[in-house]
Amino acid sequence: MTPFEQFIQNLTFGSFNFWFLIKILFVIGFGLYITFAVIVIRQVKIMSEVIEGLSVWPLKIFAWGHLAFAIFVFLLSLTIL
Amino acid sequence: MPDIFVRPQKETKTTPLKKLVMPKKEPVFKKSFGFLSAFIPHPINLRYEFQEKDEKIVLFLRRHFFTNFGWLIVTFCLALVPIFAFSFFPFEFVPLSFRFIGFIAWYLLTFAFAFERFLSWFFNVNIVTDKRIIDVNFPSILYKDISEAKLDNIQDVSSKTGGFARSFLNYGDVLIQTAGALPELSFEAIPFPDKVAEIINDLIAEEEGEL
Repeated sequence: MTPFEQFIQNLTFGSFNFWFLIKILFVIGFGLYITFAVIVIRQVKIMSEVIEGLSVWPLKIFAWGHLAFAIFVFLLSLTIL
Repeated sequence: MPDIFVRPQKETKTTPLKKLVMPKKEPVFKKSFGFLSAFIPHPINLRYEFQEKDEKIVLFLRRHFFTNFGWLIVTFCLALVPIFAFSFFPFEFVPLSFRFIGFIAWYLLTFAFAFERFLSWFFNVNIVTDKRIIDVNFPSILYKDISEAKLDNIQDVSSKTGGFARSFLNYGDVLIQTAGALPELSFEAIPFPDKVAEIINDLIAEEEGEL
């Protein structure tokens, strides 16, 4: 049974699953967070183009690591919740 | 025929490369150019996006590192919240998987807050060149605001220091009144504000002398 079917069934039978709603909120939240992480990477790139010569590689590593971790948490929330 | 006297050859002194690259005038401060430096006189490797070929950066400034103290404390407190929350209130009614994900989400948001504040500090810079003054601002992660004033448009330069931390650590604001479209530029919370004002005034005097 897919999550959507489960959602419909819960609504149909009137026994609404509260934790399922929380799971959806978590997944939407982490999805939006991935967008934010992508914006951060882009922003670091734009900022570093304004001033050339600054050592920005640690920031780039942090930004990419941040995106990777955000995707990992998104997938984790889909699987374990 | 053997030589009776051989005049010793004079050693020819070669000018070190550093002297050729660096300007004749000695920098006011000799600060190491570190990753987190807030005051860099005569940076050699730095280049501004719209820098002209014959333009040289005289000062590269950003807010004093101490100005990060506020958000660092907030981040530290935010990092402690889950530890205290779980020790005082065990959240047993919440399933373990939700507690775990909530825990991670909290630290992810805390990291995002700290990283965004650090980026804001790191890239909000002020540049003084031998031709103009540039103020690079990133008010938030989605906005970029660059304002500049040519040295011959500057009317008045003043520095302002006040408060315990600012007086103790010698950082403050430099206000630059201009005759251009932008009436005032301000370098906020930069190290050695009086010296920066002095350097800008010297550059203006040099610029006026050239005209």
